Amino acid sequence: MKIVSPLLEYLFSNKMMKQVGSYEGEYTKSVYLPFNTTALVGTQYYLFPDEVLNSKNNTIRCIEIVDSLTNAVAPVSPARDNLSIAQLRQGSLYLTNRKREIIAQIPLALLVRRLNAGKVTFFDFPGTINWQTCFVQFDSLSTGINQTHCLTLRVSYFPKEEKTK
Amino acid sequence: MNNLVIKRSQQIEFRLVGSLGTGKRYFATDIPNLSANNVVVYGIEFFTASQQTTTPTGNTVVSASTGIVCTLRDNKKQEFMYQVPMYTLIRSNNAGLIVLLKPRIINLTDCYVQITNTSSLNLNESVAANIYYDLIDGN
Repeated sequence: MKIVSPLLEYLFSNKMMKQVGSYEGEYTKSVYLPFNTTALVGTQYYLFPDEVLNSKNNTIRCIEIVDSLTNAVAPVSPARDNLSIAQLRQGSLYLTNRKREIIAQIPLALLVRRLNAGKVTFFDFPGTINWQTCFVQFDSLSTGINQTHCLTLRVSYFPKEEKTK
Repeated sequence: MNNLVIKRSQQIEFRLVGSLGTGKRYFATDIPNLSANNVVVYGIEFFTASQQTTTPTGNTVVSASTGIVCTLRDNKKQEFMYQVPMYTLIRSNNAGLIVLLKPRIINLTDCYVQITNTSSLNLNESVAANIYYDLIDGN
């Protein structure tokens, strides 16, 4: 017999909670944000347009930031170093919807999986995410970031089913 | 084992202004888009300078968490989470699990932190947290 409290049932049914080891997503991909110049405090660094991750076509279920200890070098050309924790703790990720409203703001270091005992961060956004208007912003840069660095995000997602006529 | 799913999130902060003193209350700064009574908070996560050095408002984040307790109040002024150690609410101290709350409308500017030990804390630093919430109409 499985006993579920009304509160747990509410959290599950409203998608506020899910099992840690549960299915992350049907697909996963890494996306990269290489820095072409020295990063500046207060500047918004927008993620590159990505037709796969644009939530009009897909539903994002988890985002992980890959730091330099998880993977030292990003597979971009020319090769760039992934950001270290000292660099990541200086900025935040801002996720926006199609009206460009910020619906989530999360410090970058909180999304590093290895610092959370291997647990990824789950999402279930209301409406749709507009990937190319999501951005990263740094609020201090005592540990510099320049054109040798790259921010790597690993995103898991489900494709939305097409409605048949 | 279950973990929180982020629907919406917003960073909040409690600025250590005036003077540093044990037992003194430092209230959360106002965030206009959370002021309307249509925000239901269901999770909270604190962090220190190990996770974020400076808040988006430009304030230095506290480096220590062991001398701070947090109290959350709802819109009926009830202290539904009273003097919970900040250390307990840091995700990396809980095997990566985010603290879930019974969903309720909070009165953000009524929520506060108190200092129990001033060591490693400095005036004008901020105690930073992320709250996870949904809107009542679900949009």
